[in-house]
Amino acid sequence: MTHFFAHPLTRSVRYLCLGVLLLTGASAQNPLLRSAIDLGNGWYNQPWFGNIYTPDSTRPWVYDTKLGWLYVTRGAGDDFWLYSTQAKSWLYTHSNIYPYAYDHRNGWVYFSLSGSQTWFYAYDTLDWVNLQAPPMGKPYDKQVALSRFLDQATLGTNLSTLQAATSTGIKPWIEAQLQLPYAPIFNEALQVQEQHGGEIEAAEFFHALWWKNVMTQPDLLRQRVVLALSEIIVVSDQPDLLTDNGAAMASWYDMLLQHAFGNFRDLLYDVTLHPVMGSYLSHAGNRKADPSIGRYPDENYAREIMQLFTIGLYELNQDGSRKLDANGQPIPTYGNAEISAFARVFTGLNYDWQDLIEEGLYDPNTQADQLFQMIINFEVTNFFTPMRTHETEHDTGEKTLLKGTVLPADQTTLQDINGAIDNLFHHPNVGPFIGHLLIQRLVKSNPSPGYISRVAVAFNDNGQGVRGDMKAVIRAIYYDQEARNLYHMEDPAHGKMREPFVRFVKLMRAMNAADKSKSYWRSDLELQEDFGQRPFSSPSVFNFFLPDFQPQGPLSDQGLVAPEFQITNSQTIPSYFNQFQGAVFVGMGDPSEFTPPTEDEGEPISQPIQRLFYNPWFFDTSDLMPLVDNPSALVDRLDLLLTNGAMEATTKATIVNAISGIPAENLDPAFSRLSLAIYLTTISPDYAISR
Amino acid sequence: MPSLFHKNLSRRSFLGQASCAGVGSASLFSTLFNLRMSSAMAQSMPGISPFGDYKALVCLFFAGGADSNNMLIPYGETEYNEYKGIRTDLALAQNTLLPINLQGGDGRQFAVHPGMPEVQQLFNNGNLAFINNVGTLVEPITLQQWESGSAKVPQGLFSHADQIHQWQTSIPDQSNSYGWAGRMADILHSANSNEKISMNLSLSGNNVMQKGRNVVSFSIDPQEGALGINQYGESSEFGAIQTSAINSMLEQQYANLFKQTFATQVRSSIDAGIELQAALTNAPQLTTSFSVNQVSQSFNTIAKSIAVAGNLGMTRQTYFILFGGWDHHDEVINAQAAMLPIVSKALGEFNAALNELGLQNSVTTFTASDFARTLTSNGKGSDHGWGGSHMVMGGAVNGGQFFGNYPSLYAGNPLDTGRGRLIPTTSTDEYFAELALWFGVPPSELSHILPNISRFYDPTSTTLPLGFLNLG
Repeated sequence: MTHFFAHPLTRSVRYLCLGVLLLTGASAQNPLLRSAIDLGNGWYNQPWFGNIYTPDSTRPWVYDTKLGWLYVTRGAGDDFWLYSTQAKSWLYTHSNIYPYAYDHRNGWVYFSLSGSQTWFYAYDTLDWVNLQAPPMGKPYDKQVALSRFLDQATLGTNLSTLQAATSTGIKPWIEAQLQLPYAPIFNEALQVQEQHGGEIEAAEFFHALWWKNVMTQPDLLRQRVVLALSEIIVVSDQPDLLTDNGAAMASWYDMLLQHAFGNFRDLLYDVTLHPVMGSYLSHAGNRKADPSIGRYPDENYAREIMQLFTIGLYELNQDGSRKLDANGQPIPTYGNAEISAFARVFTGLNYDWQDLIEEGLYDPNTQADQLFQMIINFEVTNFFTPMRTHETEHDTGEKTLLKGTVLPADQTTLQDINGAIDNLFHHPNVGPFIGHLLIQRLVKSNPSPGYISRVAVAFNDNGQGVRGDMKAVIRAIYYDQEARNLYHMEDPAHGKMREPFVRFVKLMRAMNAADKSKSYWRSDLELQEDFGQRPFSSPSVFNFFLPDFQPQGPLSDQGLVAPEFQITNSQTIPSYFNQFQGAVFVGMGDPSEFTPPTEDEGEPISQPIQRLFYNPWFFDTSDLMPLVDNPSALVDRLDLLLTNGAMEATTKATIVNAISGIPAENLDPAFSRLSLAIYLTTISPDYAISR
Repeated sequence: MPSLFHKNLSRRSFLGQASCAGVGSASLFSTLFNLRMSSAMAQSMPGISPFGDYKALVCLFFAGGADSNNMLIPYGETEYNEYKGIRTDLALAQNTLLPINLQGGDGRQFAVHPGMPEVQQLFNNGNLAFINNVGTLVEPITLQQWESGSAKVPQGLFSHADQIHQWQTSIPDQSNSYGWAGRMADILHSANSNEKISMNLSLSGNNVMQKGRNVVSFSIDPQEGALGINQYGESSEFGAIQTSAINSMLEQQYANLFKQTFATQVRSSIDAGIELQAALTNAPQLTTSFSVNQVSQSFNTIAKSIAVAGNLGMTRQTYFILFGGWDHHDEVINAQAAMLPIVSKALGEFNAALNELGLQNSVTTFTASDFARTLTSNGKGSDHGWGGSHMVMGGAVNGGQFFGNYPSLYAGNPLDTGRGRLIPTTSTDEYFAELALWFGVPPSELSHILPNISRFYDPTSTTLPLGFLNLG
């Protein structure tokens, strides 16, 4: 069948079809009845199509038990154009391919009769739809399906990206995204840090470059997955050493970009050796025990790599549920003995000191202890190259890891680390544990056991015997019916809160926002204060919120979780409203009226500082302005762009009513209507929640 | 099932109000207590409460697992040497410590961290006590039971997320999303005639301790108090249109549970914020000055809020402050030298402010943390431990004393599970039970707030669990 799906209809063909509909007066036999068996009473059986009814075999209208009333026209051979009143679209099909058909609005579809209901599978949107009772009670809308998909798969899109993806369909879009290269930011971060690091905490430059990447690079899917990974394998720039080292954070971010579509084992290995992680979870400079002075290996990284980055606290079934022992109790994945063994594995790593050797400051053969002391005192912190091993500080004893796996004595640091990472990577928990967390970040808060299981299966084997293939995991997450099927929008328990920071990025991307100089730099310090969140600035290794957080109320009562509600409270709620009020009204401003200041109270402002703090972002609303005189069309467009077709009718009415209430004597009614409509959309429950 | 009976008697049906209704897990006491209050209020007698006085509990939570082994330190020659022997490079020099005058005790002498002169003074003046070797426990456990695995231990022991959670639920053997102060507020909320403002106020955002089934904590900003939406409720053109649109969106019933939860939170946040901020604006000016850091400023805002509690119809309140950054796997010495003075100063300032308000006997402040840390060093700092020392402060506190035995510190002592991770000898249940009893929870209701309490304390007993508070 596949060759049929490779040829989307051209626009001219669609217009031709509409023209045919308008023709009247056909008098020959309806072409769909040709070679059909007359069953009497107006009923016919067309062997390749099924039973159809018509009161007049010369009229173009027939009734089909699957598709409802059809207007039939014929193409060149045994192919047909059918207008379905039920589907509200033109269908192209052929006696050789039916029940496959090309739907002029939804692309290739497959029809299936189940009882008295007809279902079609839309290939472009990977979605099964009931023809008689479409989701939300409206005709199936491929653009809404794509808008909803892009909400899960990107940090926000503008109208043209949505339109392009709609014509492509989901699978080709994902496959193309999986092939896109990424744009590392380390070099630029280092350069600006070296030149301007004294003017502000250098991590602020990293955040600005993150914005630039997110706003300008085409690798939309990768950016979304990297944000998710950054909230699972957490490193934060909150500790002073990293606050002052944006280049270090950039190096970490680049590593996540590199591995987001790679293999999870490679990611884990590079995470373990990355100096930023070594600093954050303190295994840089971790030394073997010296009981004579009461010193033992640092357990920090050993604990968190197990609890948070790979397997979690309890043995899991493939579907993410906890295994239980004979007493019905969950089974811990590890105890203090394993923590202690892993802590010993992660001894002997430290920041790369090659520079010191080259400069003759340090002789690794005679000054091992001295070097470690220098590193511990933060006199040496190379955050840019992987940590190095220091074998004399490595614990070379035998170590018993998970499930009784033994690392023999006298291995090198990297042999032990490789053994330990294999031990974790092959633990059956990793698929369901990481799969569940990724689904929560990308699609929904409460995935079914079946959904988790399907993603875990993809983690365990990508179909070619490879474990940990992130591409397979990503496909499994997005292609799943639980992510794709639009009926889930109607399930009261479906969905998740959009992270407040993501809501902000989403607005900026939807509005084609940019600063006047198109540097795409901005500070997000204020956003962090208002939302309790900005990327790579989590308060602890436990991220901004926990995966099992339950807000008080009906979600808790039903045993459902909603992690993002953990940072939603009477402080962040008004701050969020006010932040969006400001961002929208500034964004709607006229860039030609703005001149960036070059000095502040007589002090000159350097360009990076100017770009960070004196650099408002303006919206490009040229697509929206023509709609301001039609409030209902305007709100529908904002629904498509921002709430992805999930805005309630009541919310729409509220916003239409509000913008219609702007008095005629308002100085700039177009500006006021549009800004108010955007602002109210962004503070609505429909924008806070993705479903 | 009695629960059905409770539901029918709840205020939800009685007053037709959905907020704060005592349903679900609430005990019979809760239902009757709140029903009585409802009746009183239904008869327009606001301000009447079964409590004739005002009380507040203030929790200062050290997130990350504070190394209390260097906060309260053995000082006498023998015990100091024991401390120095096991802490090695983490030991503080004896001549820098600030000795305290311990009443009672077993003859051992103690001191506090050199950066805590206010705490030293508060202790010596009888305003502050230490609760020692307290931690999460499922049931009392000995080292032998620990080693043989014959007694239950907390789930996720030594893990931050789990222990932060369990210190707030005090239910270490189960997953539970409600905190002990939340359960307490579920039972007692009608002590406050104010329906809009929660009994539980947080200076640090959402937390588990203050989350009840029916009572949600309300977050206020340490600097600015209750925040509001710009121009909400104002009569300007934008203000009026915005207010009406927001109200309209929040009035809707949303089928989607996430949307409904969000809408409910926004509504109550706006309403409570307006009322609370109006009251805070009228708070009396204190002559006590507070340091500029977040912790001191949080205590400052709490002092103001306590001062206006009466105007708001509040007779019982809890406050929560989270002070993070205590996970000192490295730099424990330097970091604590910077952080413990912040704690000490803030406690001193808060105590002075309460004295100024004449409310020192009405407010009890207590500290908590995920866990204490290993006595032994990892060469840079200390790792995750278990039992540790905590502080309680206030006029009702039997200050200058220790409650709960301060353990021996030598390696391999009878509480040492390895590396100086000490088995707690006092449970969080006993610690919180005493606070709850002082707050006004009847002994008969204690097990609703602390389900495991009877494993450590007989609620029908005529003595208090630890005795650090004066209930009279």
